[in-house]
Amino acid sequence: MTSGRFALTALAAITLLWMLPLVRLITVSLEGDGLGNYVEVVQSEGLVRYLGNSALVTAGTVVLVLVFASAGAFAFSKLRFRGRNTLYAILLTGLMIPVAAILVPLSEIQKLFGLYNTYPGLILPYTALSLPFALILLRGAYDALPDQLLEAAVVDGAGTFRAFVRVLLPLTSPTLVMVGIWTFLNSWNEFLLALLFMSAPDMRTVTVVPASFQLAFFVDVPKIFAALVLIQLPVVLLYAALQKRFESGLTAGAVK
Amino acid sequence: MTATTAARAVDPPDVEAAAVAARPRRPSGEDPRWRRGWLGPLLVLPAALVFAIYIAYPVVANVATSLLGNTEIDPTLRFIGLDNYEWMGTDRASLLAFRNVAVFAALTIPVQMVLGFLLAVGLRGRGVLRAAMRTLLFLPVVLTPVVVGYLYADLLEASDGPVNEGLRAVGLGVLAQNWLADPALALPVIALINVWMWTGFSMAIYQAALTSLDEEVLEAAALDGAGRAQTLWLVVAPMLRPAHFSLLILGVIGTLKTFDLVYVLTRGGPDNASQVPTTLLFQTLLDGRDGRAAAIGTIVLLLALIITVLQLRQYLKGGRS
Repeated sequence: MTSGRFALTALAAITLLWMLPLVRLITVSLEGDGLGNYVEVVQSEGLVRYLGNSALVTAGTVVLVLVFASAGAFAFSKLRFRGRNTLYAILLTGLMIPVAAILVPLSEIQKLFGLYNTYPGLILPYTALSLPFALILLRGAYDALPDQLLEAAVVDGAGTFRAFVRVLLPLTSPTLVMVGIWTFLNSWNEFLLALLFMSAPDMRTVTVVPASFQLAFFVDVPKIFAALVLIQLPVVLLYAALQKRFESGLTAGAVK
Repeated sequence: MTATTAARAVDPPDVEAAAVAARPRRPSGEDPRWRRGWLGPLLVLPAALVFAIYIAYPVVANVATSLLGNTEIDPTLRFIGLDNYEWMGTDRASLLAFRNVAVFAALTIPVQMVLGFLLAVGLRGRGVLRAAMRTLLFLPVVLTPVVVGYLYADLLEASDGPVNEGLRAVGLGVLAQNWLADPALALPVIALINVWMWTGFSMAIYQAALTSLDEEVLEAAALDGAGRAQTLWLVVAPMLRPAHFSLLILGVIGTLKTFDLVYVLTRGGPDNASQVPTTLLFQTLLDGRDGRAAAIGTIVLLLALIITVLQLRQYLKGGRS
């Protein structure tokens, strides 16, 4: 039941049509000064600073999510303590929360903690929002590891914690990569909280920048597009390198 | 991991292996010492703490704040009961926002599902060309919504945007529109952009579901004389029910979260024509009307809760059968 030559041609036409907006993004970004557009947005508008802000926030979030979710998933999967099932169920409710819905109290909390225009101001809520899904995926990974593995290590004299870190944690690395990619995308692409919490010009992340660029370059579309391409570059490069992992990471929530 | 276990079985020290074997089997129901103790609670503490501060507390506080109100003259928040919800029931912008989010779901989810399904079926199997097309069609899923928004703002530019220029070039100049400034078009156009972004996601989900289907069933249906289209709709599509359901749920939750595209392209305009709850909530918060914004948030939370309960019911039903 594979498609014939005609169907394949039709599919190729659809794919080309689908790619037209992106082709246009690239070609317009090179109009006029060619690569000079890129040089200018980097030099004159400090795009490097914004890329750096986004990189820092994203890296911080990925690290926190991987550490917190690994520790939690291991404990929920392999250890026994009171209330663990209830707590796990409560944490999973986070899956359904649209962050916009809790924007009012979130802004109050960040004000209270003095976290407006700071990196933790985004890293902490991003971490909280990514944790539930990360916990599900990683718990699945720990559930799949036999208890004997841990028992053996413990009998060998390693403490439970050491056995977790030395023996089990490395075995979850495929899932860690998946969770990492997913968290990376969510934080790099996030707009709403960044817009609200990072208003100071030198703290802006890449998603908040294009609006200010529109003003700086007024109607110089090629330069704006060059900035858009640069903002998109890390995501696309990573996708090109880890395409299969991206797809499985992003669709993991839907296929059981 | 099999290597580790195997190595352990062969390796000395035998003393230890013997010790493991000789250990009395624990009575069922009692956990070994390494499973208990303070380590478990300690390990879940960081996740629980971040969750408590940034999700659990805000959900509760949001409901509480939704009962407070202020005025433009007096910004102090005071208890006003359910007045904010009453305001939502009469305010044109908020009524439109909730109507629009339903329209948006209806315009995007079915289209993404059907297109994604057809693409998944068409691009099944091996071959460099098919793989390349799958990769390209999935690409918009990973892109930054804000970037996509700015890109389309330029494509749809009224005077000399490429869409209108293209229409004029092929003699269809009458169809050229002020796409994002027309109240009748703004929301459908944003929905179309959403379809461009997310069809690849539906395709990937269906692809995963299709590979788990039995190839022989498909072949048999084809041999039975069922036409290709018949086979697709009568045999294959019903077998993918879990995938349909997942996409439906994810689509609705995704629609409730929609903010970036709308904010970048129209800010909810013109005249609230593309207003959605998230953009209205954001604007209301910036206006300093925290209580009203929180009330919008509570309704969004409630809708998300209903969807999740439906999903859970379906999941439990699936687990039983």
